[in-house]
Order: sequence, then structure tokens, then C-alpha cells
Amino acid sequence: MSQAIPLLIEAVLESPVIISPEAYLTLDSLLSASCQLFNEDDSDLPLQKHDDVYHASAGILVGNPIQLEAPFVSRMTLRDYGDQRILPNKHGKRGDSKLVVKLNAFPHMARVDRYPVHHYPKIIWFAKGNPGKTHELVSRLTGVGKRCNSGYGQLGTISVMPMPIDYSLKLPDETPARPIPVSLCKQVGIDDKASCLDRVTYKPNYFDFELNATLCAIPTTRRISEDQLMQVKEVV
Amino acid sequence: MNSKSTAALNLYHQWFGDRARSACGKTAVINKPAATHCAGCGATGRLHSANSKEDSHSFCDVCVTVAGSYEGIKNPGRMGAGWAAIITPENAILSTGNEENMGAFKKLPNTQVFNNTVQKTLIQCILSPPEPPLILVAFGNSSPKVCRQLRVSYSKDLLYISGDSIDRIDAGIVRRSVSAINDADVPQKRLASATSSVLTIARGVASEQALERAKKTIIDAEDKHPGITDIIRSMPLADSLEHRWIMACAYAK
Repeated sequence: MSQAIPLLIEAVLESPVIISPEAYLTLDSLLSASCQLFNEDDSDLPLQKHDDVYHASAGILVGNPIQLEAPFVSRMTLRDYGDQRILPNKHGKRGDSKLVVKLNAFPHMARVDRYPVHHYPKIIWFAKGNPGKTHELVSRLTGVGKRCNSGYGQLGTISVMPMPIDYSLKLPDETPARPIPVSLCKQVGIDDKASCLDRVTYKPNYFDFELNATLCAIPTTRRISEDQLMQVKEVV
Repeated sequence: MNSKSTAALNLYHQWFGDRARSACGKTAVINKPAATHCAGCGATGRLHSANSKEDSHSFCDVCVTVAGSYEGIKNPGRMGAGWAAIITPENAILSTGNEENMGAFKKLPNTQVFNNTVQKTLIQCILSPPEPPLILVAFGNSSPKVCRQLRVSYSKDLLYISGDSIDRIDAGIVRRSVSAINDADVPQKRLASATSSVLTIARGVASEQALERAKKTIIDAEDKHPGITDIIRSMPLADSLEHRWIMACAYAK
């Protein structure tokens, strides 16, 4: 891959974001999703690779968030009814009643999902790769996080800035910038014994736990203040 | 049931369930033929009822070790609400709120049963966890849910509490914050009011009067407990699970 330089990608969040603690929003997962949205090959992302691991950090939220809750009313789907735990048309005993659903209400039975939502001003990623192509792929995304197709986590202005140092695997505070398999930690200068470990996926497709999961050092710096971001930028 | 839960369920069975079932379990009763799937993991094949009642759920050989009945446990016969377990490959620590259940698992080597509340057991585990990997379970009323929602913790700083829900806790941050609060000896009410004031100012979306009140609260708190603002700023977000556990651990009685 040509022109692999360390980058800082900064995106303004125009709407609140729904992000689960287990979703790291790594840049490679987003670029891969961007390719898949347009039926393009996602096997050659414009990012440098170290073994199987892309030089692409997890998403880091910037600033102080406003905390909200987003209730979503949706219809019960056929998949819900296919669940072995749901007992159609059966009067439940005490304690079981939540799982009893009357099939004659289908497809109008409502289900409410509640998500904690955070309104952060910005999200950033560190990466090492081709700045132009990376910008192009990120710009095509409708948003980040859960329910981004319903208006949450919408991205506004996106800027890509070259950096003198590559923070895409190890952040300035010496913590992992993304999930890194324990077997690779030493090579990238991460102390796996001092890191948080979990069995997670570390390469696209991130939803394929069977195939792509292993014991990894996981990122712990998930949000920073505006001042900390300014300090990182001052290095440039 | 996702593959993370399947892996955890298999480890629970391997580390604890299989031994416990053979040493202390009740005789399994093959359920009525109408049951085709395990209520826990959805597997087909040989199924057992969780206890001798006809209308109970059916469980496979693996899930029955989580949800099934054990000798020495009073009604309902299984580990349910009030039970917590810390399972590692080497040993198991179980706690129950009912003293009558203390006799369960006495035949099982490397297993200790304590009379303790679930909350206290979880607090102890968060503050001084055993060597990972470990499975931390807060059993609930729904035994199929516990089977489906088991998680393994591979690090002392990231603990999963399995049970009716799966709670993922950054235990490292919790321990650091609890230690800072204890060192500063801040009363719970003052910390709560100062936290909400710091948040109000950080967001900046409040009336001038509210902002003034918040500033005054912080100044008062700083006078009495110098450094309290720094402690609050180093803590996780106020609506997070970690924040709730910090408060629970720091002010546990």
C-alpha cells in the first residue's frame, strides 16, 4: 500500500451516539462497513496492517457528553416469535409472564427497546494509511454506533490530519488504542499483563465471533477531554 | 445464544458444573417428550427437567448444571435469587443469603459456601478479585437466562457479572476511584451533590442561577474536602454502571 502515513481523523457528531461498551468502533470496522454498503471489496482497506491487525484505533469520544435515553418502539418480528423461550398463547405462571406473547396480536405487537444515548461534540480515530482514501470511505458512512440509520451518531465535518507519530496501536497514555491480540502485544510495545484482557474480535468482520475472536488487550481510553485532544494536536 | 455465552457455559461446566452435578446433584429426571429444545442454550438431544416438577423447563446435560437442583438447597432446590458464585478453574466460592443452604456443595472439593448477600459478594469480588480467568454469577429468578448470559472475565480490571443481565464493569477504574474516595473520606451525600454540580457546569446547559448554585456547591465541597473535584473528574460518567459500583463499593456497610 502506498502513502501510509500516521493520521488523526476527527469527525463532528451532529446527533447523539448510542454506543455499547463492547463496541469499540474501530476505524477498520467502519471502513469495512463503508465498502460493504457499496458492494465493494473490503479485503484491501487503505490502512497499514501488522499481521492481521489494522493500524486503526478504536473510536475515542471527545468532550463532556449530555446523557439521554432513546426509547425505540418496534414491532415484534418473526425472529422474536421463533425464539424458543417465547410461549405463544400460553397463560404464564408467575415469573414467566414476560415471555408469553399472544400470536393473534402479530404483527402489531409492540416492543420497546431503551438505549442510553450520549451527545458528544466529536469523535476521533488514529490510523496509519492513505489519507485521501480513508477520508473518502469515512465520508460515505451515514453514522456511527447503534441505530445510526435512525439518525443517531450522524457524522458532520470530517477532517484528516497527518501526525508525526503513529498512535493507531498504542495511545500516548501507553494503553492499547484498539483490541490487539495478546500474541502481538510485545511486538507493538503493549504490556499485556498491565492491560485489560478480553476475548473479542480484532479484525473485520467484527460480528463474526467464531472466526475472528481471540484473547486481546482491549482499549480503556474511550473518551478524552477537549484539552487532551489539543495536547495531542500540539505535537503536530 | 451467541458464541461468547456458549464458550462461557462450557467453561462453567468444565470448571464447576460437571463436578458439582456428579458430587452433589439430584438424580436427573428425563422430561416429558414434548420438550424438544434446551431452555438454556436451545440444544436438542437428551434433556433433563431442572427439578422433579413436571412443568419445569428442560435443560441439556450442560445447562442442567447451572439451572438444575442440588442436594442441600431448599426451595426451589436450585441456585436462584440470593445466590452468587465466583468460579475459577481451581476453586469455587459460593454465597447464599439463606443459612439453611450452607450445607450444599460440602462434598465438593475446593468449594466454599458462605452466608452473604449477593451485593456484598460482588463488591468483595470487584475490590479484590481472584486470579483470572473467572466467572462471576449473580443468580436470578430465571435459570434459562443465566445459562444464556454467562461470561468469562479474563482480566482483574474488566469483570463481567453474569445473571439476569450481563454487566460489564471496568473494575480497575472502580477500585482506583473507591480508593481515592476513601482516602479523602468524603461523605456520600456531599460526593453526590458535588458530582451533579460538576456535571451541570461541564454541560453548561442550565440557567445562570443553577450554574451559580453548582459553583457554590463545588466551592463548599472543595473547602471541606480539598481535591474532591479532581476525584469526580477522574470518575466515570454519572449514568454508567461503573459509577453505580463505585458508590456501592465506597459506601458499603
